[in-house]
Parts: sequence; C-alpha cells; structure tokens
Amino acid sequence: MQSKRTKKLKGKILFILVTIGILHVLIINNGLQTIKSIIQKIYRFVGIMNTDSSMIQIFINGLITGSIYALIALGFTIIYRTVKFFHFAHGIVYAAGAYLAYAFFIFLRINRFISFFLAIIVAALLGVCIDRLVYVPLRKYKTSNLVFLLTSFGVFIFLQNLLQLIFGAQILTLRTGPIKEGHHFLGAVITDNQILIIVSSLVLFFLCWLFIQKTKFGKAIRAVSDDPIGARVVGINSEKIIMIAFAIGSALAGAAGILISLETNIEPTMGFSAILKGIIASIIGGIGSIPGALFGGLFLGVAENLGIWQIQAGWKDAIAFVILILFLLFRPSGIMGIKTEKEKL
Amino acid sequence: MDYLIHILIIAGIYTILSLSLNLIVGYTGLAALGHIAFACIGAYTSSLLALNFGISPWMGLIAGAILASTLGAIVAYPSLRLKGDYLALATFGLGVIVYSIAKNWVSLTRGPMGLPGIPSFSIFGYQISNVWSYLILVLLFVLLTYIVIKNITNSPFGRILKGIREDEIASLAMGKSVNKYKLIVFVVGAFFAGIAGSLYAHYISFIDPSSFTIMESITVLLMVVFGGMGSLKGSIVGAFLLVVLPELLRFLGMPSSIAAPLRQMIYGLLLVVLMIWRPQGLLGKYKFK
Amino acid sequence: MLQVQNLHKEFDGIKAVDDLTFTIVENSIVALVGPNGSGKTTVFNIVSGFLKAEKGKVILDAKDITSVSPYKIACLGIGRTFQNIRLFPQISVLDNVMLGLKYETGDRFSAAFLQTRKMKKEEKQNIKKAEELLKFVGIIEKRDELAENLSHGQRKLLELARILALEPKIFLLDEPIAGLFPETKRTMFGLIRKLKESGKTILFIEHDLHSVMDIAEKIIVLDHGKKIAEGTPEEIKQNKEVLKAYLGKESL
Repeated sequence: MQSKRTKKLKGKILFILVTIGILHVLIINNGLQTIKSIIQKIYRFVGIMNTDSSMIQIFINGLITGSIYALIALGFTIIYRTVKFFHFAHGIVYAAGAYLAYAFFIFLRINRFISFFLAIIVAALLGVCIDRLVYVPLRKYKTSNLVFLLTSFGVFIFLQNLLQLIFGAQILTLRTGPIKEGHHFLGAVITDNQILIIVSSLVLFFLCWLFIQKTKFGKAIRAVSDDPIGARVVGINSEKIIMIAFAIGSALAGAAGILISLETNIEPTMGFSAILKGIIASIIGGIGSIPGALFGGLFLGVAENLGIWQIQAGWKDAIAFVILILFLLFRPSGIMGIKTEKEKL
Repeated sequence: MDYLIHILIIAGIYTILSLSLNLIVGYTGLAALGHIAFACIGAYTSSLLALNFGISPWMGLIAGAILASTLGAIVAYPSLRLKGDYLALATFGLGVIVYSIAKNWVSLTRGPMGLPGIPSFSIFGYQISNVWSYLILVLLFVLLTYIVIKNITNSPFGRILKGIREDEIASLAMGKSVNKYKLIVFVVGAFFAGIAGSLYAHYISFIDPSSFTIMESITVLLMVVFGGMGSLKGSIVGAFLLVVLPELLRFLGMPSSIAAPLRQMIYGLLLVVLMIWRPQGLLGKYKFK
Repeated sequence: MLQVQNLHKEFDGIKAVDDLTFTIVENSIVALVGPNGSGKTTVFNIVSGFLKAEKGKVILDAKDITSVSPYKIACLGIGRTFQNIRLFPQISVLDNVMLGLKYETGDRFSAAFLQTRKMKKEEKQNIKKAEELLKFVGIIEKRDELAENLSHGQRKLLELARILALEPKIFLLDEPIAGLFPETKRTMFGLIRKLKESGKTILFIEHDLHSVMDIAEKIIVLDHGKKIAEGTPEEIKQNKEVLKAYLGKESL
C-alpha cells in the first residue's frame, strides 16, 4: 500500500509539472526558442533579485483570480459532494451576493460590514431556496445528473435575467473612495483588496477543511457524500445535510461575489463565466475534492494569466475550456480526485 | 406583413436547427449543448467564400454544411467517452471555443465587427431578394430536412439510435457498434445545422459572433425539449412557438430593455418547468430521464 | 466451445477473479454458482468484453477473443443478459427484440433513404421472426407495450427473447430466475431446456445452489473469485469446500 501511495503521488506531481510545461510550450509556441526562453525564465525566477518582474505580476494576478475561482469551486464542491450533480445555478448565487452587497451598501447606505454580512446570509438563503423549490421535486424520481444540470441551467438563466431586470444592465461597483496605491512586492504591485482576496480565500478554505474533517456536520456531509443509503441507515437526515451544504456553499459563493466586486465591476453576466471557471477548476482539481478545488482554482487562474500574457485576452474562455476538455477526456478524475470506477454493469 | 414573413423565415431556420438537434439529443440521447457552433461554421464558411472568392451561395451552402459536419465528427469523439452531464459540459465547451474563434480570429472573421454585405441566393440569374421568395427557399429546406431526418428515424437504423439512447451497454451486447452510430448522427446533425447557418447568413446579409453564442445553443435545445424529444413534429412546433411567442412581447409594446431579459426569463422558467413536470415536452413520447 | 484460461481481475487490490480456468462444452447447460460477490458477474463481463482482465485469456471456438470489443464479441456469437436487466425501456417490446436481429443491409444508414424490395422483405421477415420469439417465450400479447411497463417476470422473458434474436453460439444468462415467482421460474427453466434440445449452449449464473441442481449438467462453484469446485450436481452435493463456502447452509 505504501509504495502504491508514493507512486501515485509521484505520478500526480509529474503530471502537474508536465501539464504546466506543455501549457507553457503551447502558449509560447516557438520550438527551440521556447526552450531557451523557458530556461531563461526559470533562471530569472529562481534568482529573485533580478527576476523578470512581469512574470511575478502575472503569477500574482493568477493567484488573485485563482483565489476567486477556488472559492467558487469550494462552495460548488461542498454542494456537489452531497447532491452529486453540477449545480450550475451556483453562479447566480455568486452574482446575487455582489448585487445584494451593492443594494445594502451603496443603495441603502448600510454599514459596509453589516451589508456584506447580510448579503452573504441572503445568498445562503437563496441557495437553499433553489434546492428546496427546484431540486427537491426532482430528487423524488430517479433523475439523471444531466436533467439536474439542465434544470439548474434554467434556474440560472431565469435568475440572471431577473437580476438584470431589477438592477439594470449597466455596470455597478462596490468600490468607494479613492483608489489606494498598491504595495510593491518582488517587483510586482498588489493592492490591499487583492491581498484581502487571496487571504480570505485561504482562510475560508482552511475553515471549510476544518469543518468537513473535524465537526459532526462535516462528518455527516462526508457520510452522505460517500454512501447516501448507509448514511440514512445510521440516522443521518440527508435532506438536512444537503440543506446545510447548500447554505455553506452558497454563502461562499456570495462571499466570492462580494470580494471580486471590490476589485472589478458588477454586471448581470458575471455569474456565467464565474461558474464555468468554478466547474472547470473543480474538475481540474478533482471533482469532489476540497484541496482539489483550491488547487484547481489557483491552477486555472495562473494558467489563464500566463495564457493571456502571450495571447489576446479574448481567448481566455477558450483556453479554460480547452483545458477542461483535455481533462475530461484524458483525466476525468482531475489531479487529486480518485480514479473513477469503471461503469458498473 | 413583411415582418410576419420575416418571423416565419427565422422560425423556419430555427426549425432546421431543432430538427437536426433532435436527431442527436432526442433520438440518440446524446447531450449535445453546443449545436449552434455548427451553424456558426456553416454561416461563416458560406459568407467568407462568397465575400472573398465570389463563390455562389449554393456552393457556399454545401461547403459550409460539409465543414460543419467535419466539426460534427470532431464533437462526436468526446461523446464516445463521456456520459450525460460530462458530455454536456464538453459540448458546451466546444460551443464556447467556436464562438471564441469567431470573435477573436479577427483576421479571418473580422471578429465583433462581423461580415456585412453577404449576397443572397440566385436561381438562373434571378436574385432571391424579396422575403416571399426567401420564405419559399427556407421552407423547401425545412421540408428537405424533415424528410431526411424522418426517414432516418423511422428506419431500422433509427431503431438502433433509439436503442443507444435507451441503453448503450445493452446496444453493445446486441452487437451494435455504438461509436459508429454516434459519429454518423453528429455528422448528419451538424450538416443540417450548417445549412441553417448559411441560410441565415445569406438572408440577413450580415453576421457577427453574437448570433452564435452559447445562449443560442440553449435556445435550440429548449425548442427540442419543449416540442418533445423524439418527436419531429414537436421540434417544428417548439421552434415556431419559441420564435413567435417572444415577438408577442414586443407587440405588447415593451421596451427592449425589459423584453429581452423577460424573454430569457421565460426560457429559463420553461426549462425548469419542463424538466420537473413534463420532460417529454408537448408532443414527445420520450421522457428525458 | 468456450474456454477461460487463468483469468485474473482486480479492483483496487481486491481480487474479483483469481486465476480462473474452465471450459464450456458445446450443447451443454452449465451453472456458474457462488455466494454474492464471488465474481460471477465479473467473469461474464470479462467474457463478453465489457471488462478487461489483467491476466488470462478467453477463447471462443479456438479464437482468442480476450481483447475484442464487446459489440464484436456479440457479433461473434456470445449473447448475454444482465443481472439487473438492461432493456430498452421507452421503446416497444417488439422493437426490443428486433434490435437483436441481424440485418443484411437493411439497418445501414443508406438504407434509411433507399429501401430496395429486398430490404422491405427483410424487414417484414424480421418482424415475423421477432413475433415468433415473443411467442416462444410467451409474451406475444405485450408486443406493442413499452418495455418499461412490463412486470419483472415479463422483463426477464423479454431479455431472453432479445438474446435469442441474436442467434448466439452461447448464451450467458446472468441470474435468469432472480426475483421470479415459482411458476415463471419453471417457465424460464423450461425454455432453457428447450434451447438445449435445439442444440444451444447455455452458461448461467445463479447464487442459489439448490435451484440449479435439477437443470444444470455441470456446476462451477466460485468463492472470492476462485474456482472451488467443478462437476456434476451429484459431485457438487458431496463437496466439502462448497458447503464451507455457503457458510451455515444446511447440507444438500
């Protein structure tokens, strides 16, 4: 058993390195010159003093967007573990978090912290409502994952346009006051808000990990995730656990929406690309794995930023989906997921 | 009155899309979410050939359809290995990728600026420029699509497709090469979607990537599900209803800033309601499980 | 006719099939028996090509079919049913059977557009064949019903009819009498006997050793993936290993 585990670990690390390498080569795309420039970059990267500062900036930018992706993936994963389908509407809870924060903070002029807290609570409630109203009736029959996904899609489209009706299509922002200058770090710039994003993400991840691993509810979630029937046998009310998962996951989505809105704009379609990235990050990291969500999110953030450094920004989405399709076809269990069982016959 | 004909033409084009998607999703059970990408290929191929090389729209139509079916063959590959929701994600992704190419490969497609001035069809030197003649053209193609797909689905070949939809593993155990059928179905479905794209391009005479977003794919899927999976008449009904009904909103005099999101809200709500209460849609015999 | 040599299959370190070897002679009725989890269905899955074994060979009529894809194996003459019944639920009973029938050219893509007279005749003949099979198993009155509306027993019979349509060399039946009322069990066994009389070869899985005593000519007993006994019902009755495997079962 031991040697198998270390073998698996080595395999995973190798796979990660190879993927990053291939990504780099594909993006830069120039054969021998590529290899030369890669070696140059590594040299400069390791020698911190004379580092190519733009590389650090890209990496930091990647961490920032990656943290948001990871947070979305985290909430998504916690929900996925209990219901086992892709809750696409997670993206609209993310957007709702931002819009609610706007409504409370900017529009109603409630204190910043209370506004954000309220927004997160309402986002959590929204997620639970979606589950109760839409998914519960479907759970009564033996509904396939695909039907859940399509239904979730429908909810997403409905709510996204509802947000647009209520708040209008124009761009909104949570930013108030003058723009503070960023800190200089290894030749790159990072602002307070950006640091907040990365730190919040890591803290929330750690808290969730503690919750899942150490608390009674966390154990129950794992039980429902691994063996729903067995869980019921030992008296776990799976419906209640699912509700808790939706509440926590949606709260995380709302928080992510608020965090990103401190940095960029709020618009009705923000949830769409957000949830797509979240799903891609989850699959890359290994669907159902919490450390995988963190890894996948950061990986996707960094990969995207590396990508648009050389290619135009408009290709960002396409790059993410190419990565997704490659993973789906060749490593559907992601980096940290367990190899999926062959189809049961 | 002209406007009504215009609506009918658009509905006809969507009918070709929903019929071809029904073959893939409704009869063979493959969760193909990026169908509009085939139309995109058809439209751009046809337009670029006409604009840059002066090639007749008829040839462009065929070329576009063939290129679209080539993409169909490529899309078929993930369908061999992925199931249900994962396939949905992959085909969704391919739809986004094709859209991104249309939007970002500016040197080829002029990106968001689009391609204006696309010529219309002409028969024996007579240009089809008035709406009535275009309507007849579109309806002929709808009829062609309907006849072809009806023949496919009513034949022993079609029976095998339904078997694959119901249970792939049992189909394998009955000696059917499931992969071969999936490939054929995607190629044929993409072919007709490509035709629809060309028809659209030469009618509107201007295309840009915004006509081929992933939301359009979802709309076509909704037409298939709403009309009824596994029912060709249902696809026709679904397409017509989902094109005509939003127009009624405009008739009620709503400003487009309200009508547009309202239309999408109805689509979203319809999808949810269908999935929960009537997965077989209006005329379908097959329940989306 | 069918040979399995040193078959080995592991799942996450658990040996589902452990160095298994046996031979099925033509025109015989053989029962593959063992407690739940002893690897019987896994053997079927490997033989019919749905699972790949780590080691070992499967040989059909002197041809090595170990790495052949499942649909080809079905075409080569192995017809199998599934433990939890895989029918085509939302199409008719008749269509279910017709999907097992072989078409010369009639089920090609091109045939959808150009129906020659020969094809039309073939279709008519196949419909007749399918009806005959439904009559043989006794559910002809359900001809136009959707398969999902059938009772459990009728479904099992339909699965049999479908596999008959395939005209296989060897029938692999996975728990053909599971969940059936005694009367339907007798019907099923009666049909299996009729198949043997018409020269067919049948290998079937059953977990209840008792029920196979009357019908099987040879019994192969598995436990934890290993073959622990092989022989006629008489021989198996006396076998101590078999009794041990069926812990606590009264002596037969």
